[in-house]
Amino acid sequence: MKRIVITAATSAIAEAAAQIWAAREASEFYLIARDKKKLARMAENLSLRNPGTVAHQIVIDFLDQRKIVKTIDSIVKDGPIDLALIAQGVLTVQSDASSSLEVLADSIAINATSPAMFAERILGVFEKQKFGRLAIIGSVAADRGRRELYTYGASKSFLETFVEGAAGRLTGTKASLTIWKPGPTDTPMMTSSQGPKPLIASPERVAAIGIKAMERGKRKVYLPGRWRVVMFIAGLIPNRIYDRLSI
Amino acid sequence: MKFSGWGLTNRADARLVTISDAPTFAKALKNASNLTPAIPRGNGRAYGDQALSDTVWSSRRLDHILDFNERTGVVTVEAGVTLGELQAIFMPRGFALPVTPGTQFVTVGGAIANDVHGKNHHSHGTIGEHITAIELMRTDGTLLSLSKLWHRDLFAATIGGLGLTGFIVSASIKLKKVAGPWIDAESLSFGSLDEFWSLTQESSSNEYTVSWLDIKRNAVRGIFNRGDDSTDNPDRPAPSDRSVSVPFTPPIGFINGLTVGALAEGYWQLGKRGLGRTVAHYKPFFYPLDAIKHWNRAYGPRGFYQHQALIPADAAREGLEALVAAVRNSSERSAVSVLKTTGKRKRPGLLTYPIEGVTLALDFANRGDSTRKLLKRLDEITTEFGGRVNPSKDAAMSQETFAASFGEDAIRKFNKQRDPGISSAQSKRLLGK
Repeated sequence: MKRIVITAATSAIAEAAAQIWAAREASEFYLIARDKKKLARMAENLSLRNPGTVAHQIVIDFLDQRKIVKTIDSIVKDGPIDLALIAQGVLTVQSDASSSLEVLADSIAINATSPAMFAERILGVFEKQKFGRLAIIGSVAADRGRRELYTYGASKSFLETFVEGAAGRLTGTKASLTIWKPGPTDTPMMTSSQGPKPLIASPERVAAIGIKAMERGKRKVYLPGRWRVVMFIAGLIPNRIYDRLSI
Repeated sequence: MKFSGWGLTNRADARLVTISDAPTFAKALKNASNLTPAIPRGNGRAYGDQALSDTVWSSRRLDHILDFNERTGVVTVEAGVTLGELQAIFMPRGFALPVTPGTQFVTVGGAIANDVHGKNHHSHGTIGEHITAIELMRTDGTLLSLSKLWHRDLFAATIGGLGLTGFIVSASIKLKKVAGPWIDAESLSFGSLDEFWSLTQESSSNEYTVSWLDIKRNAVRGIFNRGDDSTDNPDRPAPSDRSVSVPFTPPIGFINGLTVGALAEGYWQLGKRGLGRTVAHYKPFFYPLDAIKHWNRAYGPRGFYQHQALIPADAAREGLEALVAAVRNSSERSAVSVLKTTGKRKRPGLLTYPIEGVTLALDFANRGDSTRKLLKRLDEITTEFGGRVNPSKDAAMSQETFAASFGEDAIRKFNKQRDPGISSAQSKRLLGK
């Protein structure tokens, strides 16, 4: 029975990933989230849909260092971690972060600090057990700062540099570290969106491609793949033009 | 974002809001200063303009199974779970939906809002008969628990309420026990409506009956299917889930005046080969068209209309003859025609569609005015015989037809239960707002 740890488990992409894993084989989930009610709903759903599933519910503050250490330690006490997905994030609109430094600091904390703390502890576990697959959810917004989203983008790009270096710790083991880079996804984060439909991917699709990349041990994956092309082209636009785009 | 119904005839721009959970939705509704008219939307399988409005509230992320009681068979699910998911999850545990329409791709919310029925209306009625509770979000941000005991009137208005009484968040459905996923099925051919009626009479003890009808220039022919839940569960593999798909909308529909005759002939030949008794898996038996994903695109960019007429039992023979004659006398030809009888049941919803009688569902490629002229004629015939036109399939009926179908009294009672923040293109057409 695979042991799977998911943080921000009730977020749309994380939940879709859990569903894919649960449908594949009976697994033991450690679901870490902040909203108790949503977490209970998710855990119940997973086990009702997939008999044999065990879903532990863990509600903690995602910035509490001591609780993070304690949680991961207690999971590992009973066995190894086969798969882990770190999914927390908040899509902060820049105008909100500009008018409130509290919003700005919270955004960086939940998009960068918190994932790094969880990843650090899980990487330590993987180093010792010499196997395990970890994925962290980044964003295409990390590739180039955008006027309307740069605090968010910068926090996500922190994760990229973090992954680049941290993956080195796993050389010589069977463990791997992957960063998922979704584009706009049909999640509650996007609730008020009016964007053109073809550019928005479903969480199920994003999770399915991400899981495949993770299992192949890829370092970085765009979800879906066309975002690699889009962001490459975006990277070629000179600053003097790019700065004037209201994107 | 552009939305349309399954028939692709009505298209409209709408703002999409994906609902993720009741508390967040309630908070957003309470904080909203002015709401634009909105309508709940499930999997987009209503044929016409039922799920189109300025704002569309999508239930597709509300896809959790919340509770299941093995003893009572009552499952509580969020509105965005599809009927197909429920069948797939609970069939292996010996439970099935008591009522299912001809596609498994509708959501629970959509099934309730249209109080759908299936091939077993005689014995099991509409899905509304098996709904024990509904959680409904009103646009003032209050979440109500509806059942036969509490908020009875709103409960009855919500079942078959076309999405207009509020947003269905979750519902409890009493599943029925089955031995397995198999149906003892039998197909017979008939060469006239008289033969259809005698087959119907002789099949009154079968749980499921449905017929495919081919309306030819000077005759009709068809395949009569009947069946019952198999009492044993033979250990054999289910058919594969592989399906073909119409990947995009072709500039000219595959189903048009030139091909529709050949398609009907092909279907007839195929049907004739399958005559006799078999043990069928529930999927091809209940959901034959689901094997072709996006089959609606085969009609091309102008889409198609479905018309479902229900003629009450006392006028069933005459009414059916008149409908068939009207199709024959028009320049349109129906690619798929489905004939079904409905039984005498209590009607759980204020606007529950089925009454005792016979229903004829016809699909017509949209050829513009000539097609709509025929639809209007079919509406007239239906109401002349005291029958009713199905609003789930509808994209074109008039306010008068709707009133004649359901009765002024029921509509007045229904309007009292409507949520003032909700309207759809269909509600504007059928109810004036």
